[in-house]
Amino acid sequence: MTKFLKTFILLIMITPLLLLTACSSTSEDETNNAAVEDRTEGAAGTQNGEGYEGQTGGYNDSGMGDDSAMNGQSYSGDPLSDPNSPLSIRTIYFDYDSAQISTEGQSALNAHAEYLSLYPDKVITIEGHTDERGTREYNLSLGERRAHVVADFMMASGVSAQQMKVTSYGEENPVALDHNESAWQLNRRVELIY
Amino acid sequence: MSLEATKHMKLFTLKPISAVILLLIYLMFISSPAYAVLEVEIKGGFQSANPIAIVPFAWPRSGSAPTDIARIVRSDLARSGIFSPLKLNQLPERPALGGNINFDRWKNTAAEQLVIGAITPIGQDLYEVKFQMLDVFSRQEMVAYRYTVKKNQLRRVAHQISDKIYAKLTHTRGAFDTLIAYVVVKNDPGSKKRTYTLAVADSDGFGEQIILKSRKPIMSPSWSPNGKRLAYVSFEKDRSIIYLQELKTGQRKVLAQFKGINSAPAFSPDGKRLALTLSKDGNSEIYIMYIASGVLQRITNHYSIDTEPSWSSDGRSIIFTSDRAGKPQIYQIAVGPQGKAGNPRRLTYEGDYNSNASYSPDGKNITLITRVQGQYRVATLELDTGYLQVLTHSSLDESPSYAPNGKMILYATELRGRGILEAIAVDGRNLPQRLRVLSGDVREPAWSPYRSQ
Repeated sequence: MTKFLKTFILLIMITPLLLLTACSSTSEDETNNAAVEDRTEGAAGTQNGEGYEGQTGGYNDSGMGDDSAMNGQSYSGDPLSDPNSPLSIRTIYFDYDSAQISTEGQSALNAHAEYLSLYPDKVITIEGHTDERGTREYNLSLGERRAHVVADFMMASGVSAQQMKVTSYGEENPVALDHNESAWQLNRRVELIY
Repeated sequence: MSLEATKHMKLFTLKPISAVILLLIYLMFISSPAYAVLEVEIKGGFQSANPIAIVPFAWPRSGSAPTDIARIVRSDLARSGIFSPLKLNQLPERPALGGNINFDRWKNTAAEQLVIGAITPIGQDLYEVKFQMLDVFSRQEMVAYRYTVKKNQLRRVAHQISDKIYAKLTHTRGAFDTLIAYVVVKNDPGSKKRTYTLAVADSDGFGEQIILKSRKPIMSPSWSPNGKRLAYVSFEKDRSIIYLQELKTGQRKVLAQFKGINSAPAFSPDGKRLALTLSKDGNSEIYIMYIASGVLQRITNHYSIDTEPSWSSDGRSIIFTSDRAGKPQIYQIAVGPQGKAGNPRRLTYEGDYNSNASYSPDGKNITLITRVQGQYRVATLELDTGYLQVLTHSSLDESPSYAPNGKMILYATELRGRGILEAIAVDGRNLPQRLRVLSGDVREPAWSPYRSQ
């Protein structure tokens, strides 16, 4: 393949991504002025309910969270810092009062499980969160249940229990501060922290 | 033409004033970030409330008394929703203690009772406070008391006077001389950081004292039965840990830091045990801990979530939230010195979300959060009949807490995007006071037990 052709294909691939990112950031502005973390962009993508778009929507998420990527240092080859890898999805969203992992969530978790199996020295924290509705202590337990469901899923996919620390913040650490469904959707989540 | 001119004048004069107000608000924001200070909003009285006259207390010196006791009593009584104190300009005279009272003039007012009093300095930082309540029609004294206190205790004396008046007229112990604990959260959108403050204030929101400040969440304040200690959950070590803190000294110790969740502390009525939620054995279960020894008794054993325990005042049963039937509902379980003394019995059947219940002091009712058409509201459940009464009309209510006399419930709710505290009478009567903070959210109110004198 010529260099020109490579660039051309790359451009074709990137254009929809750029459009999508633009899209999701506008919808973010509309739904949630008080967004406090760049994770919301990934979330806006997930809200669309399409796995692939969810991943691209998550483009900024891990890339920005990862220092090496942010500083523009040379690409290490670690798939963790590859913005196009499904590993860039670090947030799994849930339905209200539910701890069931969606299909999109499952595919992301499968990628993480595969990665963690390859690198048995890596340890992650699995952090459960809920939206603000209902009572606080119940939500603390619900957040833990979500985190456990994610950990169990990873274990079933071959990750060792020693590689996962499970914790819950319940409704105490929201990423979106509004009191409406679009904020609640972003807050019902499990975060994978490497 | 002249009208036009005055209009302009008004507009013109308004501007600098609003600028000054804005500046003041701005200064408050930047100059006092260390305090959460509650702001009290009176929502207006009730037509049906009993009128009562509280005359400003006499002060023998020039200037004004160090504390306006009558004013505090008036606002306490109005806050109960049961009384409607006369306004100052509705008082026909201001009689002195022991002086002449023109009862005929008082009969022309709406008031059926008349309260008069005096504050007298009697020594270095020492005051004598006397008051008397009279029946306007029989002209008889109904109650009278005298206190000798330091200056910083005058507010508390005012609340104690409110309690005496309330008890005499309602035959129920008053709960004005009590404290509330609560959590204040401030979001700094710039730094994306939050500040959590656990604080204690008088039941009317004054006299705030900071118990703990943290960058990490603080949850679930719970009073010891003697009112001297608070148990709470803090995430300062990035996970939930239960602490016990002495209010007077600030001394604290860790009560529970097991693997997993450590949450929902609730003191037994004898103060020796703590009901709590731990997930150390896999998922959230209710335990009882003997505080002195740390010995644990496991109370529940189910793969569902069991949490939010609350003791009955006789210490013989615990109610808790469990989703063992699919959705959160309230269950009751008998407990004894050996721990679990029976099997859980479901108490709530109405609705698909009932949680965070606590017993009324007389043990006949519980208050809880129930979901009605997608809205989370404060309700009470009469245990004998199973009658569920929804008390509020809001949508994001949390943390209902009974006053120690069982007449009011303080709870957290959301108003125009802000977390505030509201009180409601157990008969559903809306109470005219609301507590909020200047910036941030206030939540998780916990009403203290009665204070020792």
